[in-house]
Amino acid sequence: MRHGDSAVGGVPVFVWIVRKYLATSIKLMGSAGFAALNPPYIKILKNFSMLTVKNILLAYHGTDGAKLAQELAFKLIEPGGGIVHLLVVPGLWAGMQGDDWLNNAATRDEFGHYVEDLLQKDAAEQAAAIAKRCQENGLRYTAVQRVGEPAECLLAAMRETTVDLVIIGPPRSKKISGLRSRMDLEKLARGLSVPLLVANRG
Amino acid sequence: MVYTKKSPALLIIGFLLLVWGWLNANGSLDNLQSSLQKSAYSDYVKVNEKYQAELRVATEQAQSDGKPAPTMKKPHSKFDQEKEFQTQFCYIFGGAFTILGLVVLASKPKSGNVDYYLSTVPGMAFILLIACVVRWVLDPMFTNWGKAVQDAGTLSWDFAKIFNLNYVVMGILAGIVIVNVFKIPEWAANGVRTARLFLKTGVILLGALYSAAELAQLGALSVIMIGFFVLGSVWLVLIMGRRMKSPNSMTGVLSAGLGVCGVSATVAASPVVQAKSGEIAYTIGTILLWGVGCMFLFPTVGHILHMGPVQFGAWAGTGILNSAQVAGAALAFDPHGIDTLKVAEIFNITRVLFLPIIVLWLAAWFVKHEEGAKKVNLKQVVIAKFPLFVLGFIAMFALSSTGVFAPPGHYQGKYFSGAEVKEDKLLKPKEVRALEAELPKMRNAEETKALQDLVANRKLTSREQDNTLKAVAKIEGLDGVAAGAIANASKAAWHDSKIIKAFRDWLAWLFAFGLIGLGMQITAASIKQAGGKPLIIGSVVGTLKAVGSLIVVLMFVREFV
Repeated sequence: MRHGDSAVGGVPVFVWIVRKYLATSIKLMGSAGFAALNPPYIKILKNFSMLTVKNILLAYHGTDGAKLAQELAFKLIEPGGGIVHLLVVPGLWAGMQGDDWLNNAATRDEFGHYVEDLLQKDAAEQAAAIAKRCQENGLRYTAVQRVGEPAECLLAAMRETTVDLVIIGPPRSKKISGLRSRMDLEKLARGLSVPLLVANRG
Repeated sequence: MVYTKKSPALLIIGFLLLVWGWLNANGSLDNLQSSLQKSAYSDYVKVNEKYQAELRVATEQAQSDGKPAPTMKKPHSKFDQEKEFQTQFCYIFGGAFTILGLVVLASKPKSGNVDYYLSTVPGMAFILLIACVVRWVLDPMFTNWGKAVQDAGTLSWDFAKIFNLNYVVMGILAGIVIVNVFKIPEWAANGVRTARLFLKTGVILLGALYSAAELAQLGALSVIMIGFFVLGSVWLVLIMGRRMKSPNSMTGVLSAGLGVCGVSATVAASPVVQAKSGEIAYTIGTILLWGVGCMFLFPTVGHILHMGPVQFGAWAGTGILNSAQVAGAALAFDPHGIDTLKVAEIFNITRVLFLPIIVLWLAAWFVKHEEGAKKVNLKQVVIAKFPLFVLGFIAMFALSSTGVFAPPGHYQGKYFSGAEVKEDKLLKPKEVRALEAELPKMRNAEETKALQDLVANRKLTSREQDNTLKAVAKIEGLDGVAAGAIANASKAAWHDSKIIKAFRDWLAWLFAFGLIGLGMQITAASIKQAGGKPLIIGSVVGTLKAVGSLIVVLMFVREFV
């Protein structure tokens, strides 16, 4: 793999790694400079020259940020490695019928099935895209679909699978529209037992 | 699947209610209650003083006559009635919850109907407990604080009244806080979902409280206002959506939500216009944001503008985007009566009757503008979207019109009866003389006859006489004592209908229960989705609808019912 000073394989990255998990299966080669962040246990890792990972947990749901994470994952994965694809259906959908009280049960059921179908269709499309790319690259593909708060889902998926690294996309800019369902990085950093990479928007 | 969660929560709630009832019954809470229920307690003091005085006079009289001291029954004050109500309420529900709580803990539930229905009870008990706390403790507490702050001169206005810090608003707020901060406990989740059933039941029962004239007048007014503003806002959203180059599916779902009845219309229309998930989330977020905001803003504006029940009910029923918040705003405006709620619910019913029509309109619009859109079956849409509870409302209205629940004249809460005027309420000789002296001032034979009858009977005998003499009391130069006598006679002839009063009180509980439960279904996560073009279009249409309907109501709607 070729890596630049502040980028991995041409993809600019911001790498946040929890200090206590640095000694993991990630193989770091070359120079690594650390700068302290607040909270102090999070460091920025940059200027590394090579990083390869056998099993990656990738949070991908089709947004621009997730696409950056996807690119990064395919750059870092070892040949023959595996990608665990986490698809999160945000828990906010559970409350999306809000305080509707006028409709009868049939109308509410119809709406529920309609939304479920939409979300299922989206998830299937995203899963198919990643699975296809894994197949093309000779990688193992595992899909994990969960409903709930993104950070909790990711932590649960990490516990259920064997991965060496978690990769997520950068937080979406507030100027860009999209579902407001943010990854709680604090919760993630406290709960992860493997390093976390956050792809940079560039 | 087994729905009932093994939890001591139901037992604890039942026990808490029983303890509150028992403490009320034995007087341990009298100090607390006297500070909370100040108005009722002052009534208790008056009734007690009167009773003691009468007892003393009767005892002295009996002693002078050489008879034994009489026994007199102490009359019930409003304070006693309130305590008695709380005690009975707590014993009934606390007892039931305690027994069922033991059943939940002791039994091994199997999948089936019994398990399903049992699983709803803890959640219902949870909502009821919140309703009791806000109604019996927080509501009077804030009312007292509002008055105290005003009396102390700290504020020149009653903050509790202006900000509508009553049991309805605080109950809904409690629901919103619980779901967003603490989350709904698992054992309560199934019961919380029953809130909409209770609201619908409330609307159905409300049907018994309308007279035919009321229903006709309010129905006509609501059809005109809802027709104009619903069709107008649907049309406006369709135009704005096209201009802003929004996708047809987004424009379609937004026009239903903003035009008809908010979240309910969004839920009904989304599959028809094939809305995408993000579009649904934006629309519902925007509607909830506006709905919750309006629920707090509307009653305050209504009080500032001194609106009456008909005006406010018509405004809230038209101007608030989401139907659940219409009922909330009506009860927040008038928490201790249901006159405003009656008006607002007619508007809600009219809205929901418009829903199938709008869904069909949008379906036709979507097919016309979107390539490959599926055509919908007109008959299927009308049948599927028809709100069945409206039939229940109509049935209750029809039944009550036959007099099966109470005599027809009782439904306003008060009824006229000359025959039931008590002896001590008859006009005093001084008042009769003052009325006789005014006979020459009568303007026609009808007024003369009505006044002569009042003088002869010392009480009113018919509603017609009451109406005629109300006009007489306004004659310029009429003697003050005579005018006061007419007012006293009228007051004595109108009586509270106990059945209807109790029915209204229970209805208010039912609506409060439903609204607290619905509050528990308003999540910050869904409100946060408000944004993008839907928020822009929603803000424009929501503002136009609120301000436009306010202007129309203030200009054309009078308290005529």
